[in-house]
Amino acid sequence: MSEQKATALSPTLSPSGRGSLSRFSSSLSSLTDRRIAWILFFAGLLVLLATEKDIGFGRDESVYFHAAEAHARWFQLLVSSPTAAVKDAAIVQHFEFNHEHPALMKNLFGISYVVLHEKLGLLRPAGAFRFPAFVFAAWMLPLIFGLSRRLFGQGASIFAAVSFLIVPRQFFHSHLACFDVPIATMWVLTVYCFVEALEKPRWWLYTGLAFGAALGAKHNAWFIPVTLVPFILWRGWQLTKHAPEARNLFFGINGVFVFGGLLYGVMVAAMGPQRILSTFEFQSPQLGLFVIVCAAGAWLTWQLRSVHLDAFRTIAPLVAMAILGPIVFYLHWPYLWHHPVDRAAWYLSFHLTHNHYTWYYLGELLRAPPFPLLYVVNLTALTVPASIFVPMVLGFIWVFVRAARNQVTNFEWIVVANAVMSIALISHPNVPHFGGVKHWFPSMPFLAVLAAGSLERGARGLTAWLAPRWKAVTEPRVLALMAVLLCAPAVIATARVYEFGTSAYSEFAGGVPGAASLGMQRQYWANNLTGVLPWLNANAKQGERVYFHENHGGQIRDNQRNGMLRADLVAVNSPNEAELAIYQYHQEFREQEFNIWQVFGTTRPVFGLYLDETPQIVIYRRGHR
Amino acid sequence: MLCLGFQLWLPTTHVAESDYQAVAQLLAAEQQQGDVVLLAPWWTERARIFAPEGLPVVGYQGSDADSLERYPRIWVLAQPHQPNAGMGDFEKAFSPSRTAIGAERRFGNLSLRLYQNGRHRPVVVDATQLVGAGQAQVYLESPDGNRQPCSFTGTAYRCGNGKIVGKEWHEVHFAPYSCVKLEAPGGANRVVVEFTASAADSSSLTAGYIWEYGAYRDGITPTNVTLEVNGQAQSMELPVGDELMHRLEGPALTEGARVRIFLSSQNPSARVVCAVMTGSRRAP
Repeated sequence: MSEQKATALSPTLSPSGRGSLSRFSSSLSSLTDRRIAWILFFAGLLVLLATEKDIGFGRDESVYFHAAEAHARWFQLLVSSPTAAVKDAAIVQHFEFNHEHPALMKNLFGISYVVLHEKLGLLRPAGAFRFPAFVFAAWMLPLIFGLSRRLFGQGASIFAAVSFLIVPRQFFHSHLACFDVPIATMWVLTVYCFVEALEKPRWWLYTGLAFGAALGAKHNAWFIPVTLVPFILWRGWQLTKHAPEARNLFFGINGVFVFGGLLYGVMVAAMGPQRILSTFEFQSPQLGLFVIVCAAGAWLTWQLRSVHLDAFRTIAPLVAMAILGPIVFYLHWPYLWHHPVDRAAWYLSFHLTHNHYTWYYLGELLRAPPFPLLYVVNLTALTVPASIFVPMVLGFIWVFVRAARNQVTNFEWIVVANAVMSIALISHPNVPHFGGVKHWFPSMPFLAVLAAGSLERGARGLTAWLAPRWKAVTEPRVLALMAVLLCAPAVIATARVYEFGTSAYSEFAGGVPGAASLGMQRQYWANNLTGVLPWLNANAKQGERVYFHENHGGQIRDNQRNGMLRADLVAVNSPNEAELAIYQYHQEFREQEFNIWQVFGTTRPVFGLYLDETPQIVIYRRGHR
Repeated sequence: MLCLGFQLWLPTTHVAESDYQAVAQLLAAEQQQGDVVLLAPWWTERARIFAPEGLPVVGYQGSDADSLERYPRIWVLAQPHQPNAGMGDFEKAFSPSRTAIGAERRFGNLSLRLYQNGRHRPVVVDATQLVGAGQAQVYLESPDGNRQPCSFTGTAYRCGNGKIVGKEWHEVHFAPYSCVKLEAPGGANRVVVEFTASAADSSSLTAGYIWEYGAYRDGITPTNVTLEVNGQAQSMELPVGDELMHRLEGPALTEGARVRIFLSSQNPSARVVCAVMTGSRRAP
């Protein structure tokens, strides 16, 4: 975006007491922008649908398929027999499995399966389960575009949106009926709603609902307020500086929630956590305090609306998040209905004390904390295509350059804060580090927005240099050409490895083979099995017993019911029972490969998936020499 | 542009199956007893599929520096064009005491070169082979000297505590070893492998915890591994939390030497050890 254009827009908000919230007046304000947003959404959705069948089933995804189907059966029971369905026994029967994750996405996966596969027969089972995930992944594109449009032009903003989907690992994960891309989308959605709420009516309500939905998607959502609260408090403070009545209400709202938090602290200190949980019932001081705090906070916020509209629009989204977040979280998950506190406490406790899975990084097996502080940053650099990663970094740095020049807007700080949040969180040496890059996906859309800025500045600079020499050179043309050049390597990389997305590495790593030499995790989730299924289907004997190593029974079931694996093949639990063994190459599992050598009496595989020559899946046949 | 160039170039580093087959034919024709194939970079293990029967293929993280002392000749099968192939580091680790025999041969992206292995030490005593063939005595021994024999089942020894002592493939710190698997019986008791050895200029015992057992810490005790030759014992401790192979150099072996390998750990939990004991002659 040009500086001239920025100053031409009259600031409607003065969050910093100095400049506008954004350099553009509002996101998606024009018809063209809205059309682009829709095109991005449908293009994303179509690409994901078109490539769905190529993507194997990860370990977790097959678990979620199973859970989603159980949820769907409960919804069918709710329709056919509502009284029976709402009883705890029926709820437990359908929601107990995989209750370490909230239900929103699994509800959607399950309903989609029933409608699109069982009722309409439009998609194969896996495609039907995954369809809601495609919708969320595709929705990410217009959201990024909309956020980016607050800072940059259409071309750069389209680049920002597209650049999210063409990162090989992100493209791969966008297919899965899992939670990592949906939570990233809902994180962005919450921030998007929040930013809109600062300027428009009712969006405070949408912010609260979006946050509640995010809580229902995955536990990452609990950290969204961390990025927004400092901004809200600071902006509220600035806005009410010269409005004593608004200032009092602002203090009052904050005071109510802080006081409520302190009272909970006193309760925990006096009663102990266990007693707090066991006595947290419908008619208990614990719930009463929540109701009183919410009611008082909401009333004071509503009072503020008539006193100072900008201050109201600043703090109302946070109040809505505080009130609606827990309510939506409770309502969306029937498993909580009869035992909200102890089951929610178990859920939170599960993630606070999560196991550490062994992970291979720079030639070492990371088994337990403390993990390397730079792990997340390094892995991001080694997996995001360099032509996208470098603009992200430059865009990040540029915000600080602008801050030094006193030019930065609060919106840019919001983008930076959200870009940093998930990366900083997972970087903590005691936080589990397994799972590749997916745990900090919520940072990536915001980094994509920052990358758009780099593209725009680069195009402007290059145009200024070239235009005097060639008349045909214009900024839009240069920007388009640069965008294509930046996207092309990522598109090629994605096209080559997207089915095996957990194995993808960037140019900085030297691609998949370079990462193997660096000593990086070869793959995870065991979905790369798809690479050898055609060989297995063609070469296994009738009814042959196969040891699938890292694949669990759910994955085998899903491969068979989606027609990817012959139904006559029998999965067994160890090489001792098998004629064929399919080893998933992981450094932490090499003992299992050598165990296959031992049991099968051979060190020679018969076939394998070798991605850019790196072993991924290796098949052994008993007695083959 | 660099990224674009990289992405377009990367597929050109692939190896055609016909090239692997050509290498396999050459190896089948020219291999000698005792040859080994060493992979560079170490992870290019697709070559295993095509290797001629009976020709071992070595490739694991750290195999560049493997002395491969059992093998007089080494075929280095390399893919030097792979990104981060690290051929310079490979040369540094591999080259000392190795002499190239003949010129490098190219098969597409594959490079093959034969080397004389100056680190070769002919193995004349191999505890793993003796255990695999049932030519050792295996027993549990209590501190008072009481022995409880383990019976040979045809493939391995089954002990009274239900544990198996046998010749098995196992991983220690990424590397495959065909070794004697031993499990500490617990307390002051020890599991013992005993056999009679031929004469050798030197002996050694290499041992390490299998797989991830070395990383276990809670309530775990260290393991004592002992090599005893004609009553003279040398011991080493495998510490808790240690995943590496440890080596102990033993004495020369006289013809008919009585060799015993002991293993003990106070707490037997996760004390599963892969042990390689050899007696070697000087290279001719």
